[in-house]
Amino acid sequence: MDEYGTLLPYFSGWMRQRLEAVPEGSRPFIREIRLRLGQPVALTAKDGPFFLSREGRLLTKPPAFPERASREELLEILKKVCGYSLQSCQQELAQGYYTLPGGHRVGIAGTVSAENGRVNALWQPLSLNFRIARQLPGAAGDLPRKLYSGGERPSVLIAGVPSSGKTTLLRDLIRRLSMGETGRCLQIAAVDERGELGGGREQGTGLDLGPCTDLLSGYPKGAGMEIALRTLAPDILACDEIGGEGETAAILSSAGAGVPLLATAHGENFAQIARRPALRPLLEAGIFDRLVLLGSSKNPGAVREIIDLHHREEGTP
Amino acid sequence: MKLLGILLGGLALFLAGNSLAVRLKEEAGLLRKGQLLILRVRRELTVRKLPTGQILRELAADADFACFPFVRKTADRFTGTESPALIWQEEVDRWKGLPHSPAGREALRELGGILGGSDGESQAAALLLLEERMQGSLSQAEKRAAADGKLCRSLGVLAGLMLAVLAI
Repeated sequence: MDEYGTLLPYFSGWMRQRLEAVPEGSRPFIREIRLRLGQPVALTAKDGPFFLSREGRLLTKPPAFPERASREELLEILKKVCGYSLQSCQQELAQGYYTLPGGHRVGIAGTVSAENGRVNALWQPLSLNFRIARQLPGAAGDLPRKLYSGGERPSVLIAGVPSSGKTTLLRDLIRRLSMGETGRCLQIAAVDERGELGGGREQGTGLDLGPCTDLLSGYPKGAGMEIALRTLAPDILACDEIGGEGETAAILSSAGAGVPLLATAHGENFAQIARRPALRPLLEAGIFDRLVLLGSSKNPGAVREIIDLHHREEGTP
Repeated sequence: MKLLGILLGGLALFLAGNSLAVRLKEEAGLLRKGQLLILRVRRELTVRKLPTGQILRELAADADFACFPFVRKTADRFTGTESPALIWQEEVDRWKGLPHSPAGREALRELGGILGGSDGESQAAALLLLEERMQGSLSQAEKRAAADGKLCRSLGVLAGLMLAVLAI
């Protein structure tokens, strides 16, 4: 079953009918299934959001028929996503996401209770965004050769805007390095805090990260990196979406251990990345050797530029 | 023969009275177990914060709740993809041993509806209310078992004796 098809059981009634009607040929291009309270079901593909006709055709404008996502439907879908155990998903819900088997991430926005600037609990979902995770062998293109040939092992930061394909590319890069595409098989420790990289491998529906990759699923980045360095003797330490609160110190500390880092972060160009408070110290400390900038969300996974950070000219964006 | 018939009649009346008294006591016992069931679920949610499937499996494995076959059946059927509330309520409705007290019956049905459907605190609060309703039913059932049970037994004995006297 294709990745899109694995998400259909989470829906029911008119929503499921609409989503099932999407032709098989269109499904590989769907990146997200989006539900919003009081709105029709929307899909995101390369060219932007689409809505669904009754026959499964993709429409650029909302359809005229009256079916709209109701409060009860959103709540029921959320319950299904959480395996009808909302009480044991509170942390993820407060962080605004839940990762499904297969690595698909459900972004959740809604009405919350908050205290001291922190979200405590989600009361009612108002939007659900199912981001479809795909294993695309070859997504990393010739990056393994460009970055790691000749025995080189630089620390690499892959950056791009949301939906530019960072995680998919990282996954493929990890897999191919682990398989020894650039020489010997590299031992990779992948700290997968959100479960997107490995897709919940412990449930048997995981994504392939290669034969020499150790997956630390659900570990906070700092703790995961520390454990990986202490116990797994990695050749490369990989993690997705760095730049969060409290991660800088952990990364700086890990960098001191001499193991190259392979990470992704949000950012369109060097200047934007350098402005982020959590990433600037890492760039200033020279943690990363290479910066790989990805293209826009219209062309996910396309590498726009590879910058050698140690030889970058001052003033270059 | 006539005497034997009358004696047997008297005995039957006594046994009927006794049986009613026992049933009233059993009803109270069932409601007490129902209250323990609710308490146990509340504890697993608030203290151990277990996922729904695990709560159901542990309840099913607990001998104290073997008197509620719907617990095991729900645990066996629940896979995380179907609402436990629907499964629970289906299994409760199929069970022929439900308490006679409407409030007690409803409380057992509603317990499944609460499980897994909201954050831990909200579930615990809803279970506390359910516990109080169950306590109300239990108190009534215990009073009835004490008072009416005695009455039934006494009436049974009296009716038996009256028959014997009339015969003589």
